Amino acid sequence: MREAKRIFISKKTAFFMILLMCVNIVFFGYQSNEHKSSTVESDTYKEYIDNYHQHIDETIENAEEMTSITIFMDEESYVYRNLIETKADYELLKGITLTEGNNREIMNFFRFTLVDFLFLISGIYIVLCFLQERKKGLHLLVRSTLKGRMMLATQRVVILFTGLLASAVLLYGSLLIITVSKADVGFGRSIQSISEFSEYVSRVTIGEYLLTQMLAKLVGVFMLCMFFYMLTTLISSSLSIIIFGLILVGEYLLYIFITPTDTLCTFKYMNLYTYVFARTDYARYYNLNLFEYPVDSRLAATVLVVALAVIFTVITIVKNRRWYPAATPAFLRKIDGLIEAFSKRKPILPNFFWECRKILLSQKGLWISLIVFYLAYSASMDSFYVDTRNPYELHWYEEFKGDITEEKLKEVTEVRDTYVRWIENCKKNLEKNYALRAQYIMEGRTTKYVDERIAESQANLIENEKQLVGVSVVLEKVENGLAYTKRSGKIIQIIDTHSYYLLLDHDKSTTTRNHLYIFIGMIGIFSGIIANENTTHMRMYLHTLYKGRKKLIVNKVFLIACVAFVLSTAIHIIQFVQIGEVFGYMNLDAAVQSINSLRDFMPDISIGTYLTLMYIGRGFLTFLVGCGVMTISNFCKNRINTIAVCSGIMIVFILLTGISF
Amino acid sequence: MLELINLTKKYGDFTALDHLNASFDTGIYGLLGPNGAGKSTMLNLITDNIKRTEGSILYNGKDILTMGSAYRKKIGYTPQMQGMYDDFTARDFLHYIGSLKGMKSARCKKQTEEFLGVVNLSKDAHHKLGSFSGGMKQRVLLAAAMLDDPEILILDEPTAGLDPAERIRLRNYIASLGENRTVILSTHVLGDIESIAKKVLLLSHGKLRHFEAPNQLIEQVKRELADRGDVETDNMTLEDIYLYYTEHSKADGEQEHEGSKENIH
Repeated sequence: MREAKRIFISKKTAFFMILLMCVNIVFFGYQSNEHKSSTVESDTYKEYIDNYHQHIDETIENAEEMTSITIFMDEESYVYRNLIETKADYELLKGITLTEGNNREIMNFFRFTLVDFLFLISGIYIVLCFLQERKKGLHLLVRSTLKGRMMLATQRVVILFTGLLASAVLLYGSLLIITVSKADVGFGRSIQSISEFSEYVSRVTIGEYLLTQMLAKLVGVFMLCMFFYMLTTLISSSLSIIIFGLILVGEYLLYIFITPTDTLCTFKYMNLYTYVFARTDYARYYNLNLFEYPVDSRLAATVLVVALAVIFTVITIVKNRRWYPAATPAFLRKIDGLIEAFSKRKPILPNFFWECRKILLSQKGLWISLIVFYLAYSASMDSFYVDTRNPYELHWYEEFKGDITEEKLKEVTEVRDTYVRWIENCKKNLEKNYALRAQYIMEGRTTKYVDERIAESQANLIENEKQLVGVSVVLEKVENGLAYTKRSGKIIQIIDTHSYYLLLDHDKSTTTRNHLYIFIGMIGIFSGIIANENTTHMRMYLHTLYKGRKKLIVNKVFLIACVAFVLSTAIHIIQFVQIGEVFGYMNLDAAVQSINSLRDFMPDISIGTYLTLMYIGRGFLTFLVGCGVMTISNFCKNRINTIAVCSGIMIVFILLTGISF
Repeated sequence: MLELINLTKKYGDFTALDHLNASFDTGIYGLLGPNGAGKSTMLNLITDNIKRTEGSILYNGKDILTMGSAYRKKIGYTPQMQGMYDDFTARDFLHYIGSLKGMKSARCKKQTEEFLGVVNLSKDAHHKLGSFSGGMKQRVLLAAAMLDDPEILILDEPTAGLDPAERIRLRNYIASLGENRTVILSTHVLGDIESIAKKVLLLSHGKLRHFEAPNQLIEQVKRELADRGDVETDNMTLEDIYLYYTEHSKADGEQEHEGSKENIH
């Protein structure tokens, strides 16, 4: 009970949970805003609902048919058994009622992966709390007490589970409340009413599925955290952190890079993250081949995860009884000799690199920046761009690319006029042909030839009208551009500005979200930049050294600048690349004033230079944020205080950006 | 030569150091005084870690504030803390301090190995400071202070937490350091000072009570106390003097406390 009190009723834990909650809610808000216009209840969805039972019947029929094909007929084979199993499973879905409803909000909930990471982090935090006594050298004292071994380990297992449960309620619960407050999800509808869950072969409602998913996440994360706790009992804390980190990364790579159709897909379904995320992959229908018997991947994974959780728990509790922390294992003593030999040969780093080492390695800045980059990257993967531009318009942009001049205006006008004339001709032809057709009918002659000509004229008319729309848009731009050139004396170019429009104006929520990730990263990385010198009592000592004042600060500022520019560019460039992949960037050498929204921009520079300056500017803004964090860090006793103050200031930033749900 | 002239430090109404005058040549200078006497304040002023209220600190006739980093190049300091960077090894830490002292790489490497040997930490040099005991950390700090052969060594409790054998070994080494540089040694272990110090500064309530060689100090204090007649002065040692001042300091402190209470009333 006291152990639970020590961990849960502490300022640090409260602050940590509030921070996780804020990050969770804010980024969920950003994601919801992004998907507001992108996901619409479309005809495709209605088609899905209407055709679902047909799809089920087809799947069952297919399975039946395939069993009669010679190569699948071996009754002892996995394939045959799998076909039978598939048929039986899909028959469960026969007659199920699918109800249309607002799936957008609940899908936003299902798509939001950040919360899973935060949930995992909250579990790791609890385990790290268990290790505090080791850090403070109290573990020998604790272990010498009556209840300091097995009893304490058992209590900690319960604390971990309870903590995770509470964390799940807070993190997922808050998102569910937001989801429910925005739309009537209809939790009583069958889960298959959401097209992404069409293959979930169980008769459950959305509410029941959510509950199952939550339990799966809880058990998955509990198992992972127990594994981490077990490692810390078996080996040293730092080594277990490295091993745990490697396993997490390895499993994640398997989860990400193996596709559902891959031959190695067992590693995707029997993966830690299938449980931690428990998203649409979790709902996918897949039977594992277990000694030629098909086994539901979810069932197999559930058994495995629960079994592992039990095994890790038992090993941890038992090992805690017989663990001798004071002894150094033999293999570590051998490694020690190697480290000693290497240590003498290490080169002496210049001052700047010592600062890099302190901030990026000792204070885990490198990890924080990688995590922040990954989170920004994965959040960007959730947003998608669809190219809805008129290809005729694009054709004319390409055709007339170059400076906007009187000659260009003439050229475009001529083309426009030509199309107007052609359209008129097409219409006249059509009228003539219709009249001819009517005459042929009256005369009882065959209309085949006239019909062909009518179809041809109609096709020409449609084509010309589309070309006219495209060239008219370009003409309008040329006219506006020429008016601007006459007014300002600056020559601008004809370009398709859609990608620039998205990058600079429309996709602001992504930009703001990226800023937020970067600022969170900067706070995390540099919160200890000076505060840590206070915590380690090194500040006054460093002040007595030759390069311990100005030069030390200059090195720190230089490091902030380097990290700021790298982190800012790396994160913002994701959006640049994503938009570029879909829309491309037409003529980066064109004058920046070629973009409508930048007509009033004074300096004569190209779009490419403008974008470069913009990213440098964002890097500079990030640098200023870093300097701000350093200033706050200067007045704080420790890192946590710095984070608390900076987070408070960031809330103002969030309010200013007008985040809404 | 390091000179403290009318050195005063006030924190609001409280005077931590009161018009202190002293000059230090080569040799070892012991700094004695009960807790709150002003020892740390004095060392912080000498290392330019806090601003003085009045007076000046001169090194070879120049004010240390105008010398700036040139002065810091000449000092080596062992603070009383043992925080440090837990994930640095002892060798890393010395390399880091060496680079902050502006040492050339080869010289830094050479001296690091040399001083690690002096403080008997060569075998543990590749271990992280987080796993070091208080005494080991203290020795690392001593080695760090000696890097770059500073002309002034300021040692704040350098032998605290050391086992007796290690303490005697290091004391002898410190004694050898005093031959060609100024060493200001603040300690509660009076045995460390008695045998090696050229002079002892005795501070009490921010004031310099005595600044003499240990033997002279004992003789003078004996005479003063004998005149008062309230203390047995036969066979008096430096430790007795220290204890006398500590007790009187407490009593004075209590009197002052009572006085301040009355003033408040």
